Amino acid sequence: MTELFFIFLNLILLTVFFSISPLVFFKKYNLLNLNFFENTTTNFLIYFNIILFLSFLNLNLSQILKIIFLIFLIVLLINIKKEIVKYQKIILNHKVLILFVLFISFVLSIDVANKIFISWDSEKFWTSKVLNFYNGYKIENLSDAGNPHYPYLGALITSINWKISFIDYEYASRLILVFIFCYSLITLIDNFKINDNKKVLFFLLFLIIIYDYDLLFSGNQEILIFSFIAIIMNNYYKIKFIKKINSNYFLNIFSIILCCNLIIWTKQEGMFYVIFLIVTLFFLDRKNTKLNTLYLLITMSLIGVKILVFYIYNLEISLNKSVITDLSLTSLLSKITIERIFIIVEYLVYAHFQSLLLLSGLLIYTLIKLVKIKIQYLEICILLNLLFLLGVYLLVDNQEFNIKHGINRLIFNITPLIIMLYLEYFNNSLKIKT
Amino acid sequence: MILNRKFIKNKKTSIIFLVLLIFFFLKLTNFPKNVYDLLKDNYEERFISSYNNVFYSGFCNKSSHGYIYHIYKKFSKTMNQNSVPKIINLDPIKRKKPYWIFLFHDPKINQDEIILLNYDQSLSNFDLKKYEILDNHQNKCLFLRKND
Repeated sequence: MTELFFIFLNLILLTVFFSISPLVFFKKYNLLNLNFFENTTTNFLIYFNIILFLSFLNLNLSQILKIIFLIFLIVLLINIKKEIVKYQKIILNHKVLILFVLFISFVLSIDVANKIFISWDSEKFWTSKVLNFYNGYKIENLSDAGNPHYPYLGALITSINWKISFIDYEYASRLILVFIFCYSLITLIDNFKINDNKKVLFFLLFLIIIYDYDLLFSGNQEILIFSFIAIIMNNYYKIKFIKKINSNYFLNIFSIILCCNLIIWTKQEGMFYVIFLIVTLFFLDRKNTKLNTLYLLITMSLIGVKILVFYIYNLEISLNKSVITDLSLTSLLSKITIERIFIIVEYLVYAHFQSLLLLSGLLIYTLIKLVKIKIQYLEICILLNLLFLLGVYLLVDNQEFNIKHGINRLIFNITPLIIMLYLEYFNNSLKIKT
Repeated sequence: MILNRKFIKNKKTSIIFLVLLIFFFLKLTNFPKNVYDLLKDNYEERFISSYNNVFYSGFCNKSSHGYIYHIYKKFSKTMNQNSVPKIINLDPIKRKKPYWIFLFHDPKINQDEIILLNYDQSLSNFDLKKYEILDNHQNKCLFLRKND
């Protein structure tokens, strides 16, 4: 009974904590009228980046938590009246959706608490990093944790949730992944031009199609990549309708940059995902090429910061040596054969029959083309990601083994792009009807 | 009037569809059973039950997560701080050793305490006489301490 209560309490604490924005000091932010979910996701992006930055200073978990709580208390005390009044209105207007998301988060958390087991990859790569932070060690100790060339954001965030929850068991660390996943998904779905009751329906439908404990909550980091990309897609959709540069535009860009930084620190391939996402911006917002170039430079510097931090703390800098051992040109060129390409195509086709969302995404894309809806930015993003998938599996050692066990996870990373296809088709169809 | 009836009928249909979808989702995630198991079983029981259903493990099978957790719960108070028993898995297939179950970061391996997994008396050369048997599961998984 107590575990059930603490799981629910953990969820409520996360919701309350991330609903209060550290950006309330900025008057322009308060005028932006963000909805509850956008506000929550922006807040957790800010806090995660602060936590990541604090980890660079070689602080342990207790020290990081004290600073975060101090920031939270200052923000709360200064703006408590304003926040209560503002959120009363927002919550009353969207109470159905908010309550529903909380309920679904609770259902998924209970599933995590029962299934408990962690994936093979999580045992090998991630759990040792989680235990590093949870036991009070710092970034400098990660070289002892095994696989030091892997980033550690997921381990840092989950260990924090494990520490602050009242549950001593390992699964408590993964409850925050449920929260992040649900809120990022609903933030994206909130863009459908339908009432809240129908958004609940769509949320449930996507959940039913996507949900797989092994893929989502068994400790793999793909859930974080999915969530951050979903938030970025929400920002892209908003930018699409902004006619001139204003505070709204900059908030969306700010959110994108924060997400990109977090993606870089989640998985090694994150570096490639963020480059593809920022390049997409050039096709989404063609008027502001100079600004887009600036964002690309900022993203490259964030990658540079990661390399620098790894260098300072003696963490290995390598591009996934466990799957590509020989990075010499001759070795890589020898792997580009028709036979290897066919194997990738075979598994890619098979993946469509394993994932209903992927299969239906193909159908929706066909409909989009028939109705002639312009989604060039999305097509470029999907193409870049597919080419990346092709490139990785073309050059990897033990190709068939790696593709068999990894392709579903790589495809899952870019699932928000498929949800965007639904969004574009649905909203544009409504426009055509009216 | 007709529009109102259509609206009500549509709203009723949406609500019925939503309720059905919620029930389907709760069934998909086994919510009622999960709540019951959470109320009935403690973490150790759920952990062991969960790993019994995982293809690469079991209680005293393959990676044997269940047995290792059982030993951790039973003997954690008598184990040295920040050192864990050595895990030896005699399964013919090379298995991971889930030291993470002890929840230490980079723990020291105590060579005097051994969790022996997938032991087969007829096939193995492992000499049990040098050890005191502190726990024995079907003569297949054992927790041993070296004799002084």
